[in-house]
Order: sequence, then C-alpha cells, then structure tokens
Amino acid sequence: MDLLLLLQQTLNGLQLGVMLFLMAAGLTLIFGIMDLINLAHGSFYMLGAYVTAWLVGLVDAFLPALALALLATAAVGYLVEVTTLRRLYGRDHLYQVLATFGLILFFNEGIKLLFGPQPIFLQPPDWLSGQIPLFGAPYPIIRLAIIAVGLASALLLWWLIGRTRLGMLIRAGADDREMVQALGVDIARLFGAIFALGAALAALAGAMAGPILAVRIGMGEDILILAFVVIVIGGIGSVRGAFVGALLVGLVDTYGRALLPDLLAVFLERTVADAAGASIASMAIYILMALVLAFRPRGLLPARA
Amino acid sequence: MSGEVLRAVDLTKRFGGVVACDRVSLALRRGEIHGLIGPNGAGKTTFLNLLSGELVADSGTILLAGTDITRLAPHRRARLGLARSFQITSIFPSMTVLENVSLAIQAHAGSSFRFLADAGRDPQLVEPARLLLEEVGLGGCAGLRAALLAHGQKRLLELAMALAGNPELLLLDEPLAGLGPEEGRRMVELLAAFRQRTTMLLVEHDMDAVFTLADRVTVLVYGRVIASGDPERVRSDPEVRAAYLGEETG
Amino acid sequence: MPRFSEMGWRWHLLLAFALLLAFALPWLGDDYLTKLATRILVFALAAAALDLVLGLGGLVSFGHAAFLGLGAYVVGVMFVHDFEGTTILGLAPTQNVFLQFLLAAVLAGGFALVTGAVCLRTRGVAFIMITLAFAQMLFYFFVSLRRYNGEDGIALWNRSSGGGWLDLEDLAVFYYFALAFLVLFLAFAFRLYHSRFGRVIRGSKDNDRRMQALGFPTYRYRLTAYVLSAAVTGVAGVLLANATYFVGPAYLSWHVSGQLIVMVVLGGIGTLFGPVLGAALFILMEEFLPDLLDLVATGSGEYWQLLLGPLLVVVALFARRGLLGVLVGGGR
Repeated sequence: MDLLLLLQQTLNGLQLGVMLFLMAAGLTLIFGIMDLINLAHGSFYMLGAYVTAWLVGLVDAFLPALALALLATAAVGYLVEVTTLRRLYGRDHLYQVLATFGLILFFNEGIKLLFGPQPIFLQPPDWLSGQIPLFGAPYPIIRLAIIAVGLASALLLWWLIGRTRLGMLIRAGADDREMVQALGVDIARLFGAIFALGAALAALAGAMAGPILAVRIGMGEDILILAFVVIVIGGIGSVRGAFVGALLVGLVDTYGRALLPDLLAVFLERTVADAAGASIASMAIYILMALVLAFRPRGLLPARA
Repeated sequence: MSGEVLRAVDLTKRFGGVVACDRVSLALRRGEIHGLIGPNGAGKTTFLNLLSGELVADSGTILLAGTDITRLAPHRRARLGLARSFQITSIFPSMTVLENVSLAIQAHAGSSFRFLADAGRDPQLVEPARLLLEEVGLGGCAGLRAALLAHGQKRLLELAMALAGNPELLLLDEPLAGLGPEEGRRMVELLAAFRQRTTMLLVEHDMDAVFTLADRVTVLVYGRVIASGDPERVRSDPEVRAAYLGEETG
Repeated sequence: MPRFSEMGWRWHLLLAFALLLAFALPWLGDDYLTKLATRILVFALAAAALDLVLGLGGLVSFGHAAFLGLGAYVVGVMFVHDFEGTTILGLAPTQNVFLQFLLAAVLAGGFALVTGAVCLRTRGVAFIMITLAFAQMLFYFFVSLRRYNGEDGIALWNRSSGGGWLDLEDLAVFYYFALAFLVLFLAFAFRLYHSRFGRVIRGSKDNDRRMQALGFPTYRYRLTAYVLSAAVTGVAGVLLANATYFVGPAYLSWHVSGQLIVMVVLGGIGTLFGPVLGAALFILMEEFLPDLLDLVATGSGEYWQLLLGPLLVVVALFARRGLLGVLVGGGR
C-alpha cells in the first residue's frame, strides 16, 4: 500500500470526522438532555453554508462573514426552539419527527425561494485556497484548516462542558432535569442556549464544508444521517462518544471509499472489484454501526443514565 | 424442598459505590405471606427487582421452586410462575379493564402467535378474566378504559393482573401506596383472601397492614437483613426497634 | 379501533362512502383520475403497513422507504434481465407479478429481520435513528449499483405480467388489482388488531415493562410485527414500480419514509383505516396544492412545501387523532 496515499486519506478521514463531530455534538446534547429528536439540525448546517456564502459575496471578507453567519444561525436555532420545539419536550418522539420533518421542508423551500434551486459557490479566501506540500505531495490548505478548527472546537467544547458553570448545568441537566430546576436555574433558558450552541456548531460545519462541497439544498440531510450514525456509535447524549464516533466514522468511510476497490482487486477482477468496492464502501459505516450495536447496544461511551 | 417456593442466597447488587443489596438471603415457604420492611432506601425494591429479573444480581443465586432463575430474563421468570406488582401502578392505560386482565391471562394460555381470531371473543381468555375482576370487585368496570379508573381501582386491577395464571409467587411492591384508609382496608382483606392461592412477598410501609397479614417478617436496613422471623419477635427485636421502628414511634 | 359491531353510524357511512367511491372511480373513465387514485392506493397500502408498527406497536420506523424500494427494485431488476435475456445469479428472471410479490415480501421481510434484530435492541430516539440509517445504507447501495443505472434508476417499458389472466397494462384492471390488495390487507390488519398477537403488540406499546413482567417475550413479537409490516410494504413497492413505470433510489430516500409517517399521522395513527385517508390527503395535496397556490399568486405553487412544512408542525403540535378521528369522532 502506498504510504503517501494512506496518510492523505487519513487526513481526509480526520477532516470528515471533525465536521461530523461539529454536527453530532449539538445533536447528542439535545438528545441526551431534552430527549428530543431534531431532524432539522441539518438545516442549520445548510443555513450556515448559505448565509456565509451570501455574506462573503456581500462583504468579501471570509472571517467576519463566517462569524455573522454563526450568530445568525444560532439566532434561528434559538427561535426554532422557542417557537416550536419547546412544545414538543416530553411528547411522543413521533410528533418530534413529524414537526422537525416539517421544519426541514420549510427551510429547504425557503432557501430555494431566496437563493434559487441551483447550488451556489462559496469562495474561500485566498489564504485558504492553495495547497501546501505535506509528506512531499501537495495537500489542500482548507482541509488542514477544517481539521484545525474542528479540533479547536472540540477542545473549546471540552472546556465549556468540563470547566464552566454552563457546562456544569449541561452535565447536571443530562443526569437529572428536576435537580437542575431545583437549583433555581431557568431550564427554558438553558435549553434555548444549548439549542443555539448546537445550531452554531452545525453552521460552522456547514460553512467550512461550503468551499469543498457544493452549497446546495438538502446538503444538511446527508450529513445529518451520518451524524446520527456517529451518535448511535458513540452513545446517545455523550459528547466524548460523539468525538470518538465521529473520527471512527470519518476514517472508516474515507478508507473504505479510497482503499476497498484496490483491496478487493487483489482477489477479484478489476471491474468487479470497483463495483463491489464502491457498494461495500457506501455501506461500511452502517455495518460498523450494526456491529457496535450488536455488542454494545448503548454505544461505545454511553452517557451515564 | 417441597415446602419452599423461593430461596435467595447471598444476593448482592451494587450501583457504583453504593451497595443496594448486601448478601441478602431469604427463603419463602409455600402459602405464606412474607413481609419485607425497612426504611426508605433500604434496598427493598432493588431486592424485588433482582427477584423479578428487572435487575441482575452481581452475585448470589435465586431458586424458584428449585429452579435456578438467577440469570433468566423477566419474562422467563414470569412463565415459571413469578408475578409482581409495581410501586408505581403498571397497567395498560389505553385498553379496557377486561382487556388488561385478559392480556395477563393470555400470557399463560398458549401461544400468542395467533393473528386472526378475535381475542375479545376467546372464552379461554375472557371467562377467567371476568372471574378475577369479580373477585377484586371491579366486575362493574370491565368495559371501561383502564386510564379512566381511580387510583385505588388501578391498584386492584394490577392485583388482578398479577394473579392471572395462578402464580407460584407474587411480589407486591407497596400495594397500599396512595390508597385511602377505606381502600387500604379492602386491599388488606383481598390479600388475606388470596392467601391460600399463592405465596406473597409483601413490601409495604403500612406497618399495621404488614403485621396483620404477614406470617413472617424480614427487615432490611442499608441493604442488609438485620432480622427475620416471627412478626412478634421481629417487632420486639432491639436492633429493629433502634434502626427502624424507632423512627416510627419516636 | 372498534369492531364492526361496535362502530357508530358515522363509521358505517364513511366506510360505505369509501367503498362506493373506490369501486366506482374507474367507471368515470378519466385516465388521469384513475392513475392518481392508483397511486393513492399504493401509498395507502404502504402507510397502513407502516401503521402496524407505528400505531399498534409504537415503533417509530423512519426507514420504511427501504422496504418500499426493495419491492420496487424486484420489478426493476427483473425487467432489466428479462429485457436483456440474462440471468440473475444463475436464475431466469420472472415478470410474473405474483412471483414478484413473493420475492419482494421475502426480501423486504428478510432485510427487516436482520436490521430489526439490531434496531429492536434499542428504544426511542435510537430506534428512529437506526432505522433511518439502515434505510440510508440501502439507498446508497442502490445508488452505487451501476449495473442498474445507479442514481438514474430504471425506466420500465411494461408492467409486470398478471400471470396470463390479468392485463395490468389496462388502467382499470391495475387499479382494481391494487384496490384488492389494499382491501385484503386492511381486512387482515383489522383482524390482527383484535387478535392475540395484536393485543401483545399494543400492550407492548402501552407498557412494555408490564408485558415482560406478565411473561411475554416482547422482543420476538415486535420483531415479527416489524417483519410483517416490511413484507407488506415490499409488496406495495412492487405495485409502485408498476404504477409509475419507474424504479430508482429515490424510492428509498428518507423523504419517502418521512412522507409515509406524515400519511399515517395525518389520517389517524393506530387506526389502520386512517392512513388510507392520510395517503389520499397527502397525495391530493401534493397534486393540487401547487395549482391552487398559483391561482392565488402566480409562481407561488412551486414553493408549496413552504406551506406544507408549517402545516406538519401544526399537526404535530395540535392534531392527535388525525382526519379519521375528525370524521368519525370519539374513538380511542
């Protein structure tokens, strides 16, 4: 096996992994603490990408555009929580699915109305556009930047949850909602804050994905389902689990797509190996999920019940 | 062994650092009502859950009529004749009262992989269910949705469901909880009336009820058995008085 | 859901009206209407099958599109090989619709058995996510199958054969064929609802812990219901492919799973008949709402889902009994 290829694919896998983590972190907190399934989390990812692209077109400054987009999406997230989802805590999950499915349709259609049905392009700034030599071969700077931002966000979250008062409340809320209420904390505001935070993280992932993938309607849905797989593997409600699960899924998916066809070609005819490799690679992470569940139904690092 | 329905030996269960049950041993004689008492947090419900299979013991063994059930799933234990009631009433709220009891009967009346025949017209299920409802005094509510019953009636319904299929052993987790004095008296009368049919392990905070009904009493404190035997002896045991009954009187 | 003998006059009226309408429709001779109604019947079958697990069992399966798609692909794959004159794994392809039904039921049921065995070990939110994930897995699997046109899918030139005595190409014949299956399934599901098995499934939704304490191995019953529901949805998939002359991964898209859930809830969850109404309502909305909006404001029809989305939110927040509950009142 080509070592250089392996290294590059490892970086690609890490990059997908940290993006998945940004999506999954907010989702898993919402699952764990509010016992709410939010399908519209992918819409925040899409919003982050669209708003960033739009603002970059307006002001031609990437970082301020990104910051504004995160704030805007956090505000939308907060609004969605206050107007809709707040009424669904404690209801049957079915109705949460129905309502958030409706929200997806609404956001998708709204974006189509505002930006048109065609994908739009998010122009990365010059300092992120080039390639730098890595292990003797050029590698896109933006992918490295995504990995760096993703890891930094993970660290920030670790600090936020482990070291601050908000984090203390989040952890306590996951264990015992009534206890937190008894402490005199306004649980509604806490939930709103968690929601806004989750939305901002998803928007960050979307904005960073923008330059390397197309900014298009429904972009949030594919990654949402991957994030679900991450959460199931990591253990519902566990941010640490989400981190481990995200890197695992990112690596397995990337390795699968890059290496399986070659690997199978050792035993099979080239055309057959390509076809079979592509098929198996597309299913690899789901098989991984099934295996994890078969042995650990509550995930790798379950949050304490 | 014929006189013994249940034998639990050295059952231990830990939650993190807390030992909820600490080498608890207990033997139940066929036909007796055995009171299990102790202050809050003594591990009574944990012990019941270990017996019924909702929790699995860290160590120790449980024999039900001589069969080792220590690691069996709850439904397997139920099939072997172990029934229970829950501390928080556990019924099927969306079904009628009669359907609730028929379903309990169904668990012990052949295969449930029957897809076409109307279970509501199956005399094998309906007749014994009606009989049980009459016995607990809910005959008049058979057609009512269970969710609409008053709390006391739900308790009686759960008792009827637990008695379906004539269990070897009935675990009762605070059957009097939340009942008014009149309802409580009726429940005690009913339990006394069912004494001949099954063996009961009765967890209850109402001391009058326990000492009225129980043939023997076991006291659990901090997960340990501190006394067991004849109610009068247990009642006068100085350790029990100090650890538990003292709270009640003092 | 009441037995026939316990139904009030509104039930009888509704059933009589529905049956009359269903039987009379092709006689109107409007091809467009017949095709539309056929599509409603097909989705009604899938939605009613979903209700078996969703409404009766309380299992929020967000992956039923996978079973629908599997059924549809049976038709598509058979068509391709029959057209080419090639074999599948050494076997001759069949265009016989009854054999395709059987195959679809076995494949969808088999996939449900394997994935359900994993899903049903979990509860609540996890169950939803895992059913969704497995369906997505199958979606990507079919996208990756270049042999069967991958993402583009397969356009069918003809419908399956009716075993020599049914001409499924005839609109009315195919309509009645689909109707027969729907009625047959509803009759079966109705019996099942009140049967021992149905009670176990409903009891397990109401209070699974109590069911286990009573001695029911509920996992087994839930898995059986899941497989049964999947098999019937697979059969609906065979009908869907024939109704549309098309098979593609889009049928396995998670949007379709969502739409099936919407149909069940719109019509009335846990009522079996309700999902039929829900399917009709949803497909009629999909068909006519855009035109209606265009009448109000030209060009707005394209964005009809901007209206549908919030409508679903409102339904989720306030409507608990669905359309059937509104029509027949009372009920459970």
